[in-house]
Amino acid sequence: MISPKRLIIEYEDGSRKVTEFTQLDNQTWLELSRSGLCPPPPKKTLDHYVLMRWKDGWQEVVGISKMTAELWRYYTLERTEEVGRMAFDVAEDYPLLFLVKRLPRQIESLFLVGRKGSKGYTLEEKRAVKEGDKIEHILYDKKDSSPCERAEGWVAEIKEQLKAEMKKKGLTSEQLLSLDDHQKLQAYFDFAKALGIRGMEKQEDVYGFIQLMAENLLASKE
Amino acid sequence: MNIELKWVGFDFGQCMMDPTGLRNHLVIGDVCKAIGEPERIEERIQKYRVLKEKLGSYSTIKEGHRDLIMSYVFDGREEAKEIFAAKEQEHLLVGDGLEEALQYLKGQGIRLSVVAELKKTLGPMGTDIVTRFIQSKGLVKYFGEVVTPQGKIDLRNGSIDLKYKGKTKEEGTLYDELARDLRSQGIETSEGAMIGDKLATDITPAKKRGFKTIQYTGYINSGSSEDVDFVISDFRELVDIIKGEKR
Repeated sequence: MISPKRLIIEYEDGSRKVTEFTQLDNQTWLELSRSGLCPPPPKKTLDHYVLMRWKDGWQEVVGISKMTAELWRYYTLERTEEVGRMAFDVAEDYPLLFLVKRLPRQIESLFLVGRKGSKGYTLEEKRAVKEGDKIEHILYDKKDSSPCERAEGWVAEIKEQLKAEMKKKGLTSEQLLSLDDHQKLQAYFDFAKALGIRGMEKQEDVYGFIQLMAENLLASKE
Repeated sequence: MNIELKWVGFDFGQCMMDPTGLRNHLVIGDVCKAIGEPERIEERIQKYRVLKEKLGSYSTIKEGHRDLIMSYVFDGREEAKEIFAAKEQEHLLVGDGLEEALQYLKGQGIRLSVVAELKKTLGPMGTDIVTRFIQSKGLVKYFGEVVTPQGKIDLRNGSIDLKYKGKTKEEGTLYDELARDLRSQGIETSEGAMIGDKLATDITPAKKRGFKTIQYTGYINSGSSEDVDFVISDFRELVDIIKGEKR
């Protein structure tokens, strides 16, 4: 394959954005090569490398792609970080694990929403286990009603809110789902904003969730 | 022995306002999520950290270079500006025991003011970080005014008294003006106390003007000084000071 020169992105309205291939970061170049669009980026030696040596003999290296480099500062921050670990049994060999970074102990409920139904979990701290510097706060489902019952009310509430927002735009769920992709994404963005729903890791999860709710509305002919 | 006080001034940053909750993954993270770009949280936090290395501290960025947060960290995304300001407020905490102490002091008939080193020109109430904080945390009812080098804001009607303009805590000129102001209302400096964390701006210059001084170490302990009359790490300890149960 011959060397690529430019990456051109053409938009629906005919406008274009162009960048030189040499301006792309290595990772983007690598991803494009994985799609077969270009050869992998050439291996090159950077201008500088930092070799770090630890007291125990461990060594690591990190490259600096700049002509001039002087150590400005080195300092460490020591603080207790709290991260939530949310694991799901997905009927495979291994569970699915998410890290929750935003105020993890302040989550009060979880709703698992799917095509075949929904489950709701109300969380409360049951015990804390201290191991050295680490404290594990274990939150359990309160189990004051069945997970499905709890989810029903919440899903109905979300559907009502979505219906109200769709009405403001003069859309039925059928019309919403038949919009072109660009219009649909704009509508999903507006609905998610109005409903106060944000993506933890990816914005496409927000759009997928709104679409699922809209499909749900359509299926129940609401 | 009780101490007789008629007026107490509270420093703002790292004293009545505790920035512990102001973490990058919360503020930058919430803004990225709100503008529909959760994928860019790590990249933007990294940019914010780079900005801090360039300018020295997060407070330097916020006090004089907020435009760079928008242009460099958020690539000029205009909608990020308001959300960033709102999220900052949301994640700021009130110092430990502050409201309890304010209730007590107010109940004793003691006049309360915020004495803050605000650098930005004042606009209407709620447009600067101090009055925005006081309003959003429901503390307006305790304070009569906010005294700053930009002017004194009357919290009852939002009017600004410009005779404080250009006077600073560090030079002590702000305390000179404050002493005159209080005296005109029948309060001597010996009947007033200044609470703050920084020796150079909250303690030493206030002590020189005859105010009692209370060093707050709940967030930062900036060392000791003979100008400090009392040290507290929780605002509830103020109650003990007034009752004469703490020395």
